[in-house]
Amino acid sequence: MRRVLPRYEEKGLGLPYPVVLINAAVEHADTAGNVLGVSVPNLEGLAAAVAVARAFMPVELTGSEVRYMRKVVGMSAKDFAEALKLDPASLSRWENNKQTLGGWAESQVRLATVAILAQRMPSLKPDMEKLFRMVPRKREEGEAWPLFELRLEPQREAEAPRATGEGWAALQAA
Amino acid sequence: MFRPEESAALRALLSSGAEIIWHPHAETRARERGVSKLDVQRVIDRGRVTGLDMQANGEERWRLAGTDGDNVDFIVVVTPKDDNVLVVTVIK
Repeated sequence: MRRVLPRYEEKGLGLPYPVVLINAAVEHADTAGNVLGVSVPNLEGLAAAVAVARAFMPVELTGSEVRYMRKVVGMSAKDFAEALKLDPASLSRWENNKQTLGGWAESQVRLATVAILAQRMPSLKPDMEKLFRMVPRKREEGEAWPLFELRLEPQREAEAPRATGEGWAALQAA
Repeated sequence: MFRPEESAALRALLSSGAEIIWHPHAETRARERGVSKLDVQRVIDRGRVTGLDMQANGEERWRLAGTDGDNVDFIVVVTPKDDNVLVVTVIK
């Protein structure tokens, strides 16, 4: 038995906050009605959609978010640092929230993440010029984590649920 | 040790559109161990079973050894369930 959950908080993406899935996650139960667990369609696409939505949010990235973007892209810390012309030790400190690189380095992380993911997933269609011109503001002390709500695009729901990179759309990034 | 028969069975499930179902215990363990669902899914998608445990009720549990994006090792334990793949736990 399967039931589409109207709202599901996905906490397993590796971000320090959950993302909310609207009418997408599926709860599975056995014939006796015991819940087996929850599946999320197209997890790779979901992770990419969240990374891109976060990249376009003009608030300074935390170290955890930088690590998340790197992992979604699928690069080791060493490779990511090399590609961005960053000192690996600095990237490590950044990812562990011990140092903020900000400015140019953060812009590079956002641009690289979005460019790579958009190439893999043409449905994302990011506005690269907007991202290029974006000036993120500092995160306020005690500021709430961003809230991302995502749904599957209707035309994709009937397709293979795990098709690479298709299907997720951010409803809200606040 | 690579298990060709179980690996083929897992790949057959995945190619026929099996859903990856996360048992609540597995979700908790993965978070505790700092392993993301994406890390786990990528290991499952490789379809390389490296261990087999038989449960008392006859249920097969397949072990998949993998690494995350930083080459940190972990093991995913899954079981086939009604044409889907149930993630039972994550060990690091």
